Amino acid sequence: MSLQRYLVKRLLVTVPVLFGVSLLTFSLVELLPGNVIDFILQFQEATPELRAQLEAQYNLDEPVYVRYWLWLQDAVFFDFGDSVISDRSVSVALAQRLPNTLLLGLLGFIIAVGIGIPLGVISAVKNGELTDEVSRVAALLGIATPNFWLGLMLLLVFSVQLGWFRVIPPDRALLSAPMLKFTILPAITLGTASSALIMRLTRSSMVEQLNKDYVRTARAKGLPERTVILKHVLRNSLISVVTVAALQIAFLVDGAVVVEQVFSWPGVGRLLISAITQRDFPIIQAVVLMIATTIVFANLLADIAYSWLDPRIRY
Amino acid sequence: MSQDDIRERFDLNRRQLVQSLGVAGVAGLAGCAGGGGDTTTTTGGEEDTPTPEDSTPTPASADEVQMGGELIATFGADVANFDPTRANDTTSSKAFGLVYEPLMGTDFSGAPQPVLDRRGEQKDEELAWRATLREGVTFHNGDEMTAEDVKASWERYEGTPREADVYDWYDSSTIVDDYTIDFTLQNKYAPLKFALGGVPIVPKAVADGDIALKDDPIGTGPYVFDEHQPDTLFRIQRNEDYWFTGSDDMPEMPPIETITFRIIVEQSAQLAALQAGDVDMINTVPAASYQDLKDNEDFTVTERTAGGFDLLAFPMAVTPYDNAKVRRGVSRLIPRDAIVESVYQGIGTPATSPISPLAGQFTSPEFNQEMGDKYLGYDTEKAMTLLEEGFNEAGVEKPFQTKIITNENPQRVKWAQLIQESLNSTEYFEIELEQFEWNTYVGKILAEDSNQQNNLIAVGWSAGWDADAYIHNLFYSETFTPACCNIPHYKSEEVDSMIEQGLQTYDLEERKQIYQDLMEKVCEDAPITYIRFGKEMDAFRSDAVKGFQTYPINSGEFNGIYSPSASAFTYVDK
Repeated sequence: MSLQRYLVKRLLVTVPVLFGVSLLTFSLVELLPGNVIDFILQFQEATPELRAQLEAQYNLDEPVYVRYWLWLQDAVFFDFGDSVISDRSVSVALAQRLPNTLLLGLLGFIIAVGIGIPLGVISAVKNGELTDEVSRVAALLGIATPNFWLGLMLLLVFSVQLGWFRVIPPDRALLSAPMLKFTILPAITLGTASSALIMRLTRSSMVEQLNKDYVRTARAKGLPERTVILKHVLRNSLISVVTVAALQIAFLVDGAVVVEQVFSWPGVGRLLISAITQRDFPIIQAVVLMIATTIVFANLLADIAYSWLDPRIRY
Repeated sequence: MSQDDIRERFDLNRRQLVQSLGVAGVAGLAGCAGGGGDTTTTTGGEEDTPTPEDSTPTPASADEVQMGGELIATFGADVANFDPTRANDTTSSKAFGLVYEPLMGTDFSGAPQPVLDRRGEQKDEELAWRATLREGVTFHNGDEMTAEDVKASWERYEGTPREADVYDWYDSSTIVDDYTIDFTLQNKYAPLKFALGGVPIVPKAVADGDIALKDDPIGTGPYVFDEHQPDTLFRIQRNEDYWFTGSDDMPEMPPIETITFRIIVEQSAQLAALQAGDVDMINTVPAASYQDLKDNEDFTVTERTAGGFDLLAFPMAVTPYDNAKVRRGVSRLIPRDAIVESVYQGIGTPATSPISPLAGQFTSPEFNQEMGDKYLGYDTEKAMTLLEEGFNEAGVEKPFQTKIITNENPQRVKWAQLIQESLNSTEYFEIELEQFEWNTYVGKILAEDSNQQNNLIAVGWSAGWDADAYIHNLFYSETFTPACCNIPHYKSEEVDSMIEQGLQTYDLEERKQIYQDLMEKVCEDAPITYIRFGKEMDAFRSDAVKGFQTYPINSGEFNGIYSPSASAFTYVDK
């Protein structure tokens, strides 16, 4: 099957997947403890009439399947209704935060890959030497360090003590120089754990490849070591790394909740957390659907990358 | 008067409890104190209110004020909604507190003061009131404020989530002329002036649907809404057409030109932003950093005793908690001093009675001490006697196995642990501690059978200037869970009757006596016991911010920025 046909097929498959996700999200939000009306009223006692009026306003007086159907009809056109807490459009709220989250996720990914793969390669090539040991310990630390703590430490050292960065984002456009400068610390915080993961994976995968026959052949035919490592070994090692890296994209975009809190970054993660605590169900549904979409597309990206990295892979 | 009549009038305000759990909530009273020119006109005999002693800097002097500049302060959450009939969180109340104004406000000592109503007087009948509006007050859209706007502002609450803010007391109103409106109460309502302070006046066009406050908050206040970037900032600008004409001790216009509230959820990030100079003022001071900040002359910490307390509620349907001696015995084993010192780093005071010293018209630190000595304070010897007698009367074998439950508020968990340790050190109890996610917790403690589960409930309660807000929903027999917050299902005809009297008595001395008798009774019966009265705190850069005072009610936290009725203002010097 050609890649194009495969892609078309995969894209078609995403439709039922997303449909399933939307159904699941909707049901899970239904199952959350607590009555939405109580949250809208902030637990204030209300007359039955007022409760009934609010229920009608948000279609809560309809059976679940009717509500799902109503929601789905709008959701396919990216209309997720209004927040039950702020009365503002959910799509607008998402659109306001998404660029922030994407920027931070992208920078985090660049750091994760930019540090993880080279370190993994060096570590594998220097297998057993001091450089390898140090890199492995550093990777372990990177994985073990909680995001939250790392972010606060970076803030304390580089913002409060040294004064190199601001603690909160400047009141500037997203792609302006001061804003990009500000994103360095959150991007490092976000990318550290992923880079450690990618480093370890690259290393182990390369160590395995380095013992293969084709490497010996390549060396025997006199190829420079650099070409052997970067062109042959690395490319073959990257298959498994790509799977993880692609999923890390989804993680970096959607898993930035903690980093967004520490760095006061107005992203989707914060929107989701406040929506969950306030049972703002239209926002929860929209954000979870968005996260699911990212994961589906990150997987798709991984599949495309496979065939680019290893032309033998055909679907 | 029938119980139903009483119930109808009362705001069964579960928000107070929910707010105390650490979620978005709002103090219903005194939400929007604003400006007022005729600040000498005080009504209702409240002018002698004692001020709780707290460390606050000297208020700014009108002679040395610097005009202009920007103040960068913080909010701990995003502003949810600009419409006061929809907003249920304190951050929203703080945000629009300087944009909207009510008829009456409350100054820093708790005395109601006229804001848009020039006098705030009662007509000849007990249920009839007249508001005499200031003339020449304009909304931010340029329209003049008249009696029609006031009537529309009140009546638009009907059928909204905040309906009770108005319809707990409001019956009907008649417009006499453009600047006079007569209104009738459903019943006598002693906290009326505080209640008026919680209802901002907005243009009639809002009620007509021509202005949407959720996008465009328009009031008469000293600041005009400028912009809101969700999860980032909320900005207001000085109202250049503000109606106040100045006085000896107040500039006629807010000195600060622009106020930007940066939204910083993390307490530690707020502190870091203050230390790095990214913001001038923070509105939550982490307890662990409190002393360091106070000791550092670069920063000023302002603090005021707040309106609220932490409490432990007894499930009174469970033996032996149906025995008052056992309840008082438990209370006498609560190491409140240690809790205040070790859990809250000395912030706050031990509580042994239900009304915060903030409501100084009704209580005092001495009264709190007296209740502690007589009934509820830490005293292990008395505790042992009470528990021995109580357990014998109840016929329960010791040790009694029971639980303390709490939500995941770290400080609350810590004090619950200290109580657990203290009770477990006796031969009477074997106590476990259980934590819940807050949504589950709210459901659990407001459940109909909250009094039947073998759980001591650790929670907090927030209130304000008036005594009723501390008492009513916790002890009235019509407010059993799930209707509201009488968690132990405590029922006393004497207390019910005093609660009703307290609400209907306008004479302050008489009212104070009612609440003191009432407090004594509930301390003796001890359906719940009290842990600590908290504090409201702000910290700011000493060189940049001048004259700021902390307002003790959380929803009105920034009243100190500019409030002619309270003779308070702040300026920046940077």
